[in-house]
Amino acid sequence: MREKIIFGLVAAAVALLGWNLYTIFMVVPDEAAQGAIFRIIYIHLPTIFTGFLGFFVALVASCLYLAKGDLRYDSLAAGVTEVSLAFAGIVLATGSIWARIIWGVWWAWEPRLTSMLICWLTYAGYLMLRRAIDEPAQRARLSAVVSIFGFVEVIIVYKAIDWFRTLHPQPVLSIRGGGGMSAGMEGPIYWNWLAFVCLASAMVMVRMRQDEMSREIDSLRRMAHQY
Amino acid sequence: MFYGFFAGWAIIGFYVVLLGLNERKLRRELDRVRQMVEPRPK
Repeated sequence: MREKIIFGLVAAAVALLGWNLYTIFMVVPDEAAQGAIFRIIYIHLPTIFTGFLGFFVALVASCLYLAKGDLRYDSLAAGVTEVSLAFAGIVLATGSIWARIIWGVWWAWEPRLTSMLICWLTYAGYLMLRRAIDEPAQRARLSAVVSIFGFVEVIIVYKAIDWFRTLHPQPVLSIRGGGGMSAGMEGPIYWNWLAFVCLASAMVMVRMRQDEMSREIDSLRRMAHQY
Repeated sequence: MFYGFFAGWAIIGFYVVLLGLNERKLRRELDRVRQMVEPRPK
């Protein structure tokens, strides 16, 4: 059953992404000021939405683990964080490429970019912490605390363009009061987001299955040592 | 622009390959440990 769900999610993601790629390259016109490079927004924004959604799910799963002590919540938090970290990495990479073209530099130590880098490093630290602790309950407890505090960084990244003077472009999406894009140009961002959420969900399910296999291996090893 | 799309898909592809390699390693280890605890035929 799980395999069918994973396959279904991947198929949905591929179909949506294929259709969206056609729309992005064949239908949507170049942006007036930026030209063709503006199309990078169609991967930059959906991946950050997916990443932040994942970090939020990890936050909720971590809180649930601390409340109930069920290691399945810890497994969910770890899987989601790992996948979201990959998507957050894409944000940094695509942002840098856009910045090189528009600003003439790969990187600027300005609030939005710097806070995003710190956010990425915080969650990378979360994964490194997990590797350093063998005992499952202690690993889960400490990871949950890091995940909860790490989400503060997500809020700072999201609000950075409101709180600080920043080089990063101001909101353009209508949902953030931007109004800088026509409906035809904004739509593919949300469809791409849906595709990435499907893809991320499939990856999280695979990751959680691998976590279950790891736990089974540990339990069988303990059984083997008893003989 | 194409570098941006390429970078995005390269990162996803790299992570999917890592997941696949990890899965293979875990399955092998699981099979090995299962054989260790299975009761031996009399």
